[in-house]
Amino acid sequence: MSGSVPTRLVRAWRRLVFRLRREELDRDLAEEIEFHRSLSVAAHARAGLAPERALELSHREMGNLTLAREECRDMWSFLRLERFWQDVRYAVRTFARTPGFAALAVLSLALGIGGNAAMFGILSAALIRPLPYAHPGRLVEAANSGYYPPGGVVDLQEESRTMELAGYDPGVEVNLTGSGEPLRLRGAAVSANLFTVLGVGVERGRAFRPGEDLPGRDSLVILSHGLWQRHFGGDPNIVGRAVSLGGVEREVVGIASPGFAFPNAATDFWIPLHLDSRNANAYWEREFMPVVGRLRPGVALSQAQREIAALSVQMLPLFPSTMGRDWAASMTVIPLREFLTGDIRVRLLVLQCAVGLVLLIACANVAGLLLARATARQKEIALRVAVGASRGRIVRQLLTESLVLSLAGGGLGIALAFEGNSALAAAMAAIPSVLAPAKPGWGVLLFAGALSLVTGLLFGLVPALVASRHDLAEAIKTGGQRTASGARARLRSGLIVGEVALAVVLTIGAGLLIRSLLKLAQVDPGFRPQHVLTLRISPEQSLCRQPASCIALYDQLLRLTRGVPGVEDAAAANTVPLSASVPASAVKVEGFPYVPAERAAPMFWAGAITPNYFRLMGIAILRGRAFDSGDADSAAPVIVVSAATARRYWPGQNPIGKHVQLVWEDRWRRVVGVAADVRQFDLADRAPDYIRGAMYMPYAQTEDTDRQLPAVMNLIVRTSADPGVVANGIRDLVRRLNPNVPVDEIRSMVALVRESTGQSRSMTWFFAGFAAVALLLAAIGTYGVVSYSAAQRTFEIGVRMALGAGRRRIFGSVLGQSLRLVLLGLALGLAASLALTRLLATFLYGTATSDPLTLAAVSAVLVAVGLLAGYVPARKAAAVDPLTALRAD
Amino acid sequence: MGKPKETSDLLPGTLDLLILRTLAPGPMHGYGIAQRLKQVSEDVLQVGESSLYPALQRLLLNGWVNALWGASENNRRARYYILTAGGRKQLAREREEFARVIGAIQKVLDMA
Repeated sequence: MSGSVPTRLVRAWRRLVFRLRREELDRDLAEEIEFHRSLSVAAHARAGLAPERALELSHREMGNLTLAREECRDMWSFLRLERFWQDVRYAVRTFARTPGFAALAVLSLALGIGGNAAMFGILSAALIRPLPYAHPGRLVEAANSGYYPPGGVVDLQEESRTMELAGYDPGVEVNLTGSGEPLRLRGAAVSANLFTVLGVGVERGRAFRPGEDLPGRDSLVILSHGLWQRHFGGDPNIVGRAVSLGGVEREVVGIASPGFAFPNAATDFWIPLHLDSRNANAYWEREFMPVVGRLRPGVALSQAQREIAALSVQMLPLFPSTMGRDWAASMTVIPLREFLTGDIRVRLLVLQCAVGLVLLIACANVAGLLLARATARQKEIALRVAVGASRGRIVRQLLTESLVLSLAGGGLGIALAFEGNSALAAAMAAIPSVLAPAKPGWGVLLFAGALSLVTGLLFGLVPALVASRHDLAEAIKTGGQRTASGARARLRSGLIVGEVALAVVLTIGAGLLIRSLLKLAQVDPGFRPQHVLTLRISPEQSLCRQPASCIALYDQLLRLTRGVPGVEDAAAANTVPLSASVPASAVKVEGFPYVPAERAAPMFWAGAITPNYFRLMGIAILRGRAFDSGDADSAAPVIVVSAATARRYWPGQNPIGKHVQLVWEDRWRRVVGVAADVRQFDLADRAPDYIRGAMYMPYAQTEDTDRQLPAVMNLIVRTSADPGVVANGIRDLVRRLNPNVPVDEIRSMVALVRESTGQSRSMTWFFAGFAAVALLLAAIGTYGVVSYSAAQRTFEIGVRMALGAGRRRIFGSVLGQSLRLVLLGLALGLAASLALTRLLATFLYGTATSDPLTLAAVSAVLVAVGLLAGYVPARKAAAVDPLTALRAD
Repeated sequence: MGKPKETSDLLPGTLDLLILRTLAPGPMHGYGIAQRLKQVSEDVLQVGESSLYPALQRLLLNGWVNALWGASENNRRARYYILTAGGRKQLAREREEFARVIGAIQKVLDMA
C-alpha cells in the first residue's frame, strides 16, 4: 500500500478496529449478501422465471462468494502478521517433531549468540561507552613516559595554549587515624584544577579552588563516595570538619560523586599537590607524575602533541640538575581512552574475534543441518508448491523456521550472556574501573536480538533458496533420492570444511595459550613461596625522620614476631615479589658513565631488606655473600645485585667489588654478592622496560629520594602453623607496639604466585572453552553430513555390494569421506592460523605462534574428530543389507 | 446486446470509481448499487456480489464510504453506503486519472 505516513497510520488504525470487530463484520457481511440474494431472486421471479431457474441464475451471477468473503476477512486483518504467526506455529510444530535437531541447533546458536553478547557488553563498556567525564573525547593524557615533576606540571599549565592541564600523583598512601582502627588509604595528590579539567562536580561540598595546591592553603581533602559511606557512615556533616590523614589535619571540603574514580577505583581521597617552588629538590627532582589534559576548543590532537614536545624541550634548562634530552623527546599526548584501555583493547578484540568465530561455526552448522532437513522435506515442499504456494511463500516459510531457531537460540543466549558476563568480567580483572562493564543492560539485549535476527537470515537464507528451487515433478516422482544431488551436497561439504577450518584456528589458539600457561606454571620464580606469609606494616613516614627510630621499630618487630607461635623466621622488605609494585631508583653504574644531557640515568629495581631475607625466601646467593648484621647504617654501604644485572653490566668479570651509586647520593655502594634472579614483577618477567637491573640494599643503609628510610615495609614470615592464626598474632603484636600503625595486605606468597597467572589462566580457559565448543560443533556437523550422505547412498551401496564390494571397502569409503572433509578443513585452518595466531603473540610466554608441538597435537585431535565423526555412519553403511537396500521405495 | 462485462475484466480500480460515482447522488445499499450499474450501463456491467462486497469493504477501510444499517423499500434491514467527504475527493481524483488514462489509450488506438 502506498500513501503518506499519516494516511497509512489511519488505515492501519482502521484495520485494527476492523480486526477487533471481525466477528461482527462477518455477520453483517453474511446478512447483507443474503439480502442481496433475496432481492435478486425476487427480481428474476418478477421477470417471469421459474423459482429454481431464478435461484440458479442469481447463483451464477454471484461469482465465488467464499473467495469474496475470504478476501473481505483478509482486509480486516493484519494479513502478513497473521500469516507470519501461522508460519511460526507451523515451525514450532515441525521442530517439536524433531526435538534432537531443534535442541542441537538452538544450543549451538545460544552458545554463539550468548558468548558474543556477553563479550560485546564488556567490549562496548571498554571501547565504546563514553568516559564519565564532560566531553570525554577532548581529554588527553601525557602518555606513559610523560611524567613531570611538580615544577614541570606548573610550567606546562602556564605555557600551554592548546590544553588545560592537571597533574596527578596516583600513589599517595597515608594512614587515617583518630576514628577507630587505623586505616591505610590510597589516594591521589592532584592539581587544584583536576575536577575542572575532567569536567566533573562533587556530590557534596566543593572541588578545589585555583591556588589551593600552593603551600599554606593545601590542608584540604576530598573524600571518595565509597570512603565516606564506609568509614564515616555517610555523615553529611563531615564536610567542613577536619580529619587526620598521615598525621596532618586536613579539612574535608567535598565528597566526590559516587561513580568518580580518577585515576583508578582504588582512589579513596584527593588532596591538593603541595607546589612549593622554594624546595627545588622536591619541586623539580621528585614525584614525577602523569598529566591529564583537556584540548581547548578548536584544537586538534596533533597540535597538542607538537606543543607538548616543544614545551618539554624548553623546560629542560629549568631543571636544577641536568635532565636527559631523551626524556623531553619522548613526550607526547594520546587520547585518554587510549591510555586507559592500553593492552586490554587487544585482549578484548582477540576474545571477541574468538566468540565471533564460534558463532560463525554455529551458523554454518545450523545451515548444514537445515540443508539436510530441506532435502528430507523435499516431498513436503514439492507438495506445497503443487497446491499453489509460490516460491516466495516457501522461502518465507523456511526463513521463518530459521528465525524461530535463531530467536530461541538468542533468548537462551541472552540468559547465558547475563550469567557469563560476570565470569567474563572477572577474567578481565585488569580493566580500569571507568571502563568496567556495568550489568548487561538494554545495549546487550538489543545486540543479542539483532544478532539473532542477522544470524537467522545468515544461516537460513541459502538453505531456504536452495530448498525452494527444484524440479517439482522430479521430486514427487522419485520421492527419495538415490544419489546425493551434486550442488547441494557440495554446499554442505563446503560448509563443513569451513567450519572445521575455523575450529582449527580456535583450537590452535587455545593450544598455544595452554602451552604458554604450562610454561608459566613451570617457571622458577627464583624464590620458595611455600609457607611464606606477607603483611604490610605502615607507620607514618614521619617516624623515619630519625632513621634510628625506624631501624629500632623493625628490629623490635622482627624480634617479637619470631616469638609469635607458628612463626619460624621473619624478615622485612620494602616490596613483595609479584605484587606489581616496582621500587625503582635511578642509579649510576661503575664503568658506565652516562651523559646526563643525552639520556636519563638507568633505573634499577631496588629492594630494601633485612639480612635474613634471602635465606627466608630461599633466594640463592650465587657469589659473594648475603647481608649480615654487620651491614648496619654506620658501616660501609653494600649491595647485592641480581645475576642478570651482573651479566648485563660486567659480563665475564667478577662483579664482587664493583660499585653502584644512587643518583642523589655521592657515595658508591660496593657489590658484595650476586643473588639468583627473581621474577619480581610477574612470572613471565615482563618488567617495565625502563628497569635495567635489580639490586638489594640492607634496610639500615637504604635511602629514598627524601634521604629517608622507607617507613612502610612488608613483614615476610615463614610459618609452621595456620597462616590465619599467625596473621592475627602479628596483628595483635603490632597493635600493642603502636595502635596507630595499620596492618594490611595480608597475603600468602603461594596465593600471590597463583594470582599472578590469573589473567593468563582465565584468558586461556575462555579460549579453550570456545575452542571446545567449536570442535564439538564441527564434529557434529561432520557427523551430520557424512551420515546423511551415507543414508542417501544406501541404494548405491546396495548395488556396489551386490556387485561384490566388501563391507570393509564400504566402511573405508564412508570413513574416508569424513576424514577427507576434516583434513581439508585442517589444511585450510592451519594456513589461516599462521596469519591469525600472530594476534596472540603478546599473550604467549615462551611459546612461538608456530609451536610445532601445538600444531601436531591439534592435527592429531582433528584426525581423531574425523575418525569419530565418520565411525558411526561408516559402520551403519557397512551393515547395509543389499537386498533391503535395493528393494527400498 | 454484447456479452455482459465481468468486473474482473475492468481496468484495475475502475470498480471502486464506479461505486463511488454511483453513490454520489445519495446513499444506496449493495443490491441497489449493482442494479444501478447494470441499468446505466445497459446491462454491459454486471457486478456480482463476489466483486462488489470486497470492493465496498476496501472503500470502507479507506474511509471513503460509511455504512449504516437502515430499512429498505420493502422494510427489510439493509446496509446503506454513504459517500464521505474523503470519498468525494477521491472520486474527483479518480475521475481525472481515469480520463487521463482513457485519453492516452484513445491516442494509441487512433495512431496512424
